[in-house]
Order: sequence, then structure tokens, then C-alpha cells
Amino acid sequence: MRKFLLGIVMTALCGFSMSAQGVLNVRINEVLVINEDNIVDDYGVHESWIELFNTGYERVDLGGCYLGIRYADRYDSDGNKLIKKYYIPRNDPSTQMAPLGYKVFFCEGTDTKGTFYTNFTLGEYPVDMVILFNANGKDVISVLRFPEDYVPVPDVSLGIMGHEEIESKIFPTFSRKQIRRMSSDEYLDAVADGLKYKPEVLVKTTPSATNEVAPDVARHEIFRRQDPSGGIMALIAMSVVFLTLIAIFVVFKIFGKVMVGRTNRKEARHKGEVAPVRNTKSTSYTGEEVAAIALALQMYKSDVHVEESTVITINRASRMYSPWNSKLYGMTEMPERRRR
Amino acid sequence: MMMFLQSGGFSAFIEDNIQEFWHITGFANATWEHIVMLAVGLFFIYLGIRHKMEPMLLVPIGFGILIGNIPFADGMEIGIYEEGSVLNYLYFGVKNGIYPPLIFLGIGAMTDFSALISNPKLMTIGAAVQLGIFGAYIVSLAFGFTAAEAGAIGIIGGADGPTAIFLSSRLAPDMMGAIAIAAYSYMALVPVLQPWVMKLCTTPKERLIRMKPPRPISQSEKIMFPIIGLLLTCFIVPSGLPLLGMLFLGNLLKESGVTKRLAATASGPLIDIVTILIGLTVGASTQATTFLTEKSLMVFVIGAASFVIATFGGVLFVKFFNLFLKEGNKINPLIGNAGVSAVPHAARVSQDMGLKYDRTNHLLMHAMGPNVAGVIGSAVAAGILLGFLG
Repeated sequence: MRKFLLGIVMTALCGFSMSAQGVLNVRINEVLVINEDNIVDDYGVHESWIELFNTGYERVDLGGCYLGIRYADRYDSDGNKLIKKYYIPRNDPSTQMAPLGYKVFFCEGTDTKGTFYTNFTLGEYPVDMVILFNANGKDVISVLRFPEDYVPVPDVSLGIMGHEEIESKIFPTFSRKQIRRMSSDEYLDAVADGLKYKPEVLVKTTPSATNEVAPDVARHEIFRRQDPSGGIMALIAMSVVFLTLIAIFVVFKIFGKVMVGRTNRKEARHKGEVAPVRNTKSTSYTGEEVAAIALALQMYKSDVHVEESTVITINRASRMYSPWNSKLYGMTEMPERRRR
Repeated sequence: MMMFLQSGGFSAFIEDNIQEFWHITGFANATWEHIVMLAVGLFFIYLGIRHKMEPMLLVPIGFGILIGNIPFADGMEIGIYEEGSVLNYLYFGVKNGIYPPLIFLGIGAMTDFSALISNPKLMTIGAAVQLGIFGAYIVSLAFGFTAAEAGAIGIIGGADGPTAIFLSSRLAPDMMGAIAIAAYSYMALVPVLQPWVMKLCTTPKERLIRMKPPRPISQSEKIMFPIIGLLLTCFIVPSGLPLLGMLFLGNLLKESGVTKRLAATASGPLIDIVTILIGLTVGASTQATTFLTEKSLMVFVIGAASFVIATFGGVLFVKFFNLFLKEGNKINPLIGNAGVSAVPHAARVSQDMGLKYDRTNHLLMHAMGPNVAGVIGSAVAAGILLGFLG
């Protein structure tokens, strides 16, 4: 019974947490204006997109809010820059954002493909700002103003760094009176000016993921930055090479001694006497002896002429079998059993 | 038809076709860079045939340079860098580092490690000479190469063509042609690059040092060497596995005595086939358009320096090592150069130098120890570079 009650309380708390207050934690996190090879929408089309990020630790429902853009060179009847808004439908479970979650809206332009497809595009006319309005369509939740010299590059996005910072807390605060006195452009620009984090061109385009990724620097470049002269690398590498070859040296030094001892003992056994263990000179030759043997072999070989005479004799050899048809040639020899 | 002929269409047709044909000929596409590279190819062939300098390598490489530098119009699917061309398929083995391990298999099956096993302290010379690799790495960084490129250039100092190709294919594929050509060229030029350094670093007395003759090696030791060698080296530097694994496998095939046919294949037909393919494709990869750059020239300069540094390192290390050795056990510093893995050219240089100062002092077998240790050492060094920079 207690558990049941606890469940009811928890559900109520969760529901309460998805309040309108929580939506202030949502910010426009990343925008891709020209999408050539980046993600595709549910229809397999490359569309420009806007990513929202819930910076808070509670669930948020975006339903009822407005996602809008401000055109850079189109104006309304009051002389303000024209704003086009997309109403995010209510009562759609998919508009709920998990804590620290992301939602991507495709700027497709027709408003007929689903909740996450806006009625505006980013590429048709120059846009200078993306805005998220709350349910009244006037109060700003988040803005992302493009830098003045910004020229969209295919598949390179613009985004906000400062992952953990809750944007609602760094917003400039204006009273209702102040807002009423300001024109729409003045208000939006004032909000954009007051933001702590300005949008910047991201190193990596990261839809539905944090913008704070490690820059894609090659491993060798990281190594070079840490060791610009190469001295540390040389030192480490030479040490490893030495270590490896010294390890083999030590093993074979010991192994060699064991083998020499064994050979000597064997020889001694054959001779019927006990030989000293460390006698290594019994079977070795001096350099002169080796040279003399090599010279004798060379002279012998040079004495056996390859071109002995100019008469060629061909002996016909009849073979019943050849390696192609004889199984005999393919058979492995029977190992000889050595008897003592 | 008559109308076609009368309107001059036929002659125009022929003229167009001849013009089109002319545009695809080598004459129409030739540039001075092509001519330079063709001359380099001819020079390599000349060195290989006339002076017998590494003919097994320089002749296929030289001919490969000719093949790679016949001018042609792009898009004919004949160039080594054009996908779908036959040369491109053959080049796959170089680009993906397949040929070098196969060559190492053959080298293993041909190499006799007895000299090294009988006197394992020579192993350390093979390590000291790798100073050439890392010296060249430092120099390359100083000249503004990236760390990966510097590593690939440095490996030239190991004097090991297959290792150089293997490493550069992974660290700096764009520079592989230049690095491979430099490595093989300098291997052929070992008799020119090393003697003056050896003379400079040694005293007349040191050159006369006689070394203890090597002890006879049992079959068991020869069998154990590749197994222990593999386990020790690859546990320390696993990234050297493709090269070291094949090297020691080839050697085990040779020494086990029960796989003579496999050893014969690895050390004969297999290595011959791969040598032809690697020589041809590396040569052909030096297309003038990609090869004749300032970077390539720098590779050649630093490559030569790396050989010199390596020789210095080897000879000076032996002198240093001798300080700790008893009289009678000392090592002749003239074998210090042999730590580069140009087998057996570097060892031959030691032999020639030794005989020059004492006609009865044969250093060949002693020099073979560091020489084969150099093969292991350069493969280990390549593994380290790959591990750090790859």
C-alpha cells in the first residue's frame, strides 16, 4: 500500500516537473543551414535543421511553444525584421524532452510532414536569427543570432558551447514595461546581446548530441605537440628497442650456456670421460682455419668446370612416373626411428 | 555517302580522329617532370645491370619508374592511382602493407641467425644502429614534417625496404614512393655511405681487433630462436607483429628441418614474386605529378643523413661497449655499421674494411650477427613508431 502511495506521489511530482517553468531551460543549441551530407529526415531528405537542448534536469514539454526565424532582409509592416513562427503542436508525446535531452526540427517549409518539420526553411532567404518563443508567442525562451560575417558552409553547423550552463539563468532580464517599449527587433537583439555564450562555428556537426566534442586531431599531431623536438620519442623508442633486443640477448646467453654444457657432457660421455663443463674451444676453429677451408672449397668448386667441353650429350631418361602423376612423390617420408 | 565525302566530312572525320589520337599519346601529355623521372628510371636500371647494385630491386623499380611515368591522359584507367587499373590492383598490396610481411617471410626463411645466437651480445649493436631512425625522425620534425611523416622518413635509417614501405603505407601514404625509393637506393649505396664514417670513428688499433670465432650452434637453439624471438619481441611491441611474425615464421620453417618445401617456397618463388610486384609498383608509384616535389627531395636528403647517423651510432656503440669487455672478448668496431638491416651488404662492407687493414681478419660472420639483429631491430622500431604515431 505504501509503495502504491509512493508511486502516486512520484507520478504527481513528475507531472508537476513538466511545468511551463521547465521550458525556460530549453535552448537553441545548434543550427545547420546547408545540409548536404549530414543527417536525413524521416523521408530520406537532407534538410537544414535546428537542434534544441534541454539544459535542465527535468522533463520539458515543448508543445505549444513557437520555433521561429527572423529574416535578415525582409521586413513586416512596422519596419521590423520579419519573423516567421512555427507552432509546435500540443498533446504530442514526442514533444516532451528528457532531462539533458535533444530534439531536432527539420526546416522543411511545408508544415505537413509532422511535428518536427517546420513551416519555414533556412536556405530560401537569408536568416539572421533563430528564436524559441513560449506559448504566448511573444516571450523569448532562447535565441541564436548568426554572427554578422557568417557565411553558411555545407555541413558545418553553428552552435553554442557551454554544455551545462542553463540559459534561462544567464538571460538578460527585462520587465514587461521595458519589453513593451522596445520594438520586436530591439527586444530580440537585446536578448541576443545579453547572452553569455555566443554561437560559434563548431568543429564537428553533432545533431542530437553535445557540441563539446574533442577536436579531431590526429594522434601523431597530439604526440608532436607534446614532444615538438622528437627527443622524448627517440629516447623512449631507443630504450624499447634496446630492451627488446637485450631481452633476447639475455635469454640466449643463458640458453647458449645450457646448450654448451649439454654438448660438452654428451661429448664427454662418448669419450668415456667427464669433460669440463665450460670447455667451448673443443669444436671451434680459428679465423685462419675457416678462411683456409673456405678457400679450399672455393678452389675445388672452381676446378669443377661448368663448361667442361663443347660436346653435349643428351641421355634419354625414361620415367614411368613424374611428380604430376606419381603418388610416391607426394607422400611424406616415414620418420626413421633412432635406436641406440 | 557521296554527299558526306563531297562536303569534306570524311577528311574532317579523319582529322578529328588523328587529333584525338594525338591527344592521348605520351608525346602530347609529356612534361619535363616525366622526362626527369624517366631518366631516373633509366639510371636505376643502369646501376642495377651495369654496376650490379641491388639488381633484384633496382631493375624492377627502375622499370616501374618507366611504367609509372609514361605520360597519358587522365581517365584511361591505366595509371597506378586510377581505380580499376591493373596497376592499381597490384598496388593494393603495397598500399595496404601486404607485400612487406610476405617479403619478411622470405627473408626469415633465408636468414641464418647462427652468428647472432653464438654471440648474442651482438644483438645490442642492432639496437644501437636504430639511432639512425630516431635521429632522422628528429631532423624531419625540425624541417617541418608532421610527426607521422617524420616517422616514415626516419625508418629509411633502418635500411630495410619492406619495413620502410610497410610503415610509410600506414603513416604517410603520400610519401611512400619517395621513401621506398630512398630506402632501396641507399641500401644499394651502403658501400659508399658507410666506409668513411667507419674510418672516421675508429683508430688503426681498433680496426685490427680480432674477434673470437663463433661457437657451433645446435639445431635446438636454431629452432628455439624464432619462437623465443617472436614471443619476446611481440609481447613488448605488438604493433611489429605483421613483420616480426612473418620473419620468425620463415626462420622456423627453415630451421625446423621438417618444412623444407615451405621454406624453399618462401625463400624462393614467393619472395621472388613479391619482389617483382613490390619493385614494379613502388617504381610505378613515383608518377612525376606526385613524386617530384620539394618534400621528396627532403626525403632523399634526410634519408642519406639517417644512414650516416645509423653508422655513427653502431660504430660508436661498439667502442663504448668495448670499454666493458675483457681483452680477447672485444668487438671490432668495424662491424658496428652492420647493425643496419641491409643484409648482407652492410656485413660485406665490414668484411672489406676488415681485410683492408688486416688481410687475415675475416669479419663477415661476426658482422652477420648485428646485421640480422638489425632486421629485428628495425622491425621493432617500426612497430614502436606505428604504435605511437599510427
